[in-house]
Formats: sequence, structure tokens, C-alpha cells
Amino acid sequence: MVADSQNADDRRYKRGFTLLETLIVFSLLSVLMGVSAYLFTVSLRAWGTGSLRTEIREDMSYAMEKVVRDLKEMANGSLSQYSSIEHTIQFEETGGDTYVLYLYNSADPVFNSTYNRDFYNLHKANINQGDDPDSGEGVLILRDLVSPDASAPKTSLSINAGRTQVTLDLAVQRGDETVTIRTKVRPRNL
Amino acid sequence: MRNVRQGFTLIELLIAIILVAGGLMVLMQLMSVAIFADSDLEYSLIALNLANEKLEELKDDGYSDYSDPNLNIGTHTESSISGFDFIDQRQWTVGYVDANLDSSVSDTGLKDVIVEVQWTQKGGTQSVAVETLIADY
Repeated sequence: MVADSQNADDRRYKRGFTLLETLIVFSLLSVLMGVSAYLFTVSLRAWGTGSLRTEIREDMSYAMEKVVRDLKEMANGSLSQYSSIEHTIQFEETGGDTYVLYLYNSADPVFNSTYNRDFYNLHKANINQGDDPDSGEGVLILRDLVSPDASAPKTSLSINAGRTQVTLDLAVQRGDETVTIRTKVRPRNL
Repeated sequence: MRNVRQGFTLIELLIAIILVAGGLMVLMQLMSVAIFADSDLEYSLIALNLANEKLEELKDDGYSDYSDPNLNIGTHTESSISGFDFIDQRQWTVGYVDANLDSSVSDTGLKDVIVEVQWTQKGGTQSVAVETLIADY
């Protein structure tokens, strides 16, 4: 008798959840997991996008800073295009060397004015040092610029009619992300 | 003794789930704050470059070029910039200043120019401004 009643007590107090309770808990938990997994995926994707854009932005900041500074401080010469090719800027730095900013794609055998590739890199060549734009020589300033012949947003380097100002439109695309920046530079010595 | 061996109740579990959910929400919130802070920077950078663009343009205009009224005394407004839809307006204010850079009513050969670019973000107006002096030389 004694043993029986003890068993009954044990059974009563050691019982776990009922099936119904377990089901309720599991369904709540799975809804919660589902929602948080979804949100997590969404925010991971946004995070990836964000860091890709940050990377593009950093590269563009650097390029902008470099190009704007070079052009602002160019020697008292003149702004022109290199070999009459569009989207190139030829200028002289203090010290007398002539530099060319140009858009280059290594798939092009010769540097020319048809921008029929999808992407270009911005290079700065020192002509006096023998840098040859045909083979993409010079310093690489910015990668993955959208072709000047693309529909907007696109890259564009232009000199105004008075040859005293440069308008810079930079459009960089990596993956699905495109960042565009525009500014103008007026060389101080012109 | 019996109570100790009892385990969780349903209510306790539900409370635990709610707490975990709350924690996750806070985590998500933090992530989205970080992501938005990131895009803030992007807008600022673009706006700053657009402000500089106008400033350089104005520097090229010449102190008293009457054919181009951009440097006339007063406030000038562009309500949109093509290609940059998020920009609400670009505004530049031109005023005379004297040799001490105090604002002046008469022309002493020096103009102060402030270019401000505005855009809307998170329901508020954000802006960046750049300033320069243009001399009559």
C-alpha cells in the first residue's frame, strides 16, 4: 500500500507537459524562429549591400580627392583632351610634367574614343615618364566605372568650353550597387 | 522536495519566449540603425560634392559678370539637381563683406558665398554647406 501511494505521488509530480502544451510551445517557438530567421536574412542582405556601398564610397572619395587636388593645383598651362579623345583630361603639374587622366579597359587593344565596354578604370599617366595610355600605364585611381556611353548613371569627364573648368561625373558599379558623384573643379592657376 | 523537481510551467516558458523575442527585436533594431547610419554618410558625401560643384562654378563666373546673375547679392535656389533625385534643393547666398569679413551693405570688392545642399532623410531635413570668398581682382 505504502509503495503504491508513493508511486502515485511520483507519477503526479514528475509528469511533464501535456501534448497540448508541448504543441503550443513548439508552434510559438517555430513562428518566432521563422520570423527572426527571415528578419535576419533581410538584415544580413542589407548589411552586405551597405558594406559594398561603403567600399565603393571610400574608393570614390579617394579618387575624387586625388583628381580634384591634382586639377586644382595644376601648373599654369591649359586644360585639354588627350589626342582629342573624349573623357580624357590632359594637364600640366608644377615641375613641368604632363599628365593624362583617362578611362581604360584592358580588353581594348588601343586606347580610343569608342567606349563600348561596360566598365572602365580611371588611370593617371605621366606622359613625360613615358606612360602609354594604349597599354593602360600610369597610376590606377578608380576601378569599375560605368562606361561614358551607358545610359545614366554614367561616367563623364568634361572640360567646359572656356577650358577653365572640369566637370567630373563618376558612376561606380559593383554587383547590383551603383554610386554616383558629381563635382566641378576650377584650377586655381588658370 | 516535490516542488523542486517540478520543471518549467507553460507560463514560464511563454515568458521566456517573449523575453527572447524582445532581445532579438533589439538586436535587429541595432543592425538597422547601423545600416541607416551608413547610408547617411553616402548622402552627405554626394551632397558635399554637389555643394563644391556649385562653388567652383561660381568661382568661375567672375565677380561682376552681369550677363550671369549667379553672383548677384541675395539668395539663389535650385529646386532639383538632375541625376540626384534625393536632393531637395541647392541654395547659395551671396553677400558683400568688408576687409574684416563682416557683412557689408556696400561693395568693398569682396563677396562671401555660402552654398547649402538640402535633402530629406528619416523624416528630417539634412544639409551640408560650404563657404568661400570671391574677390574683385
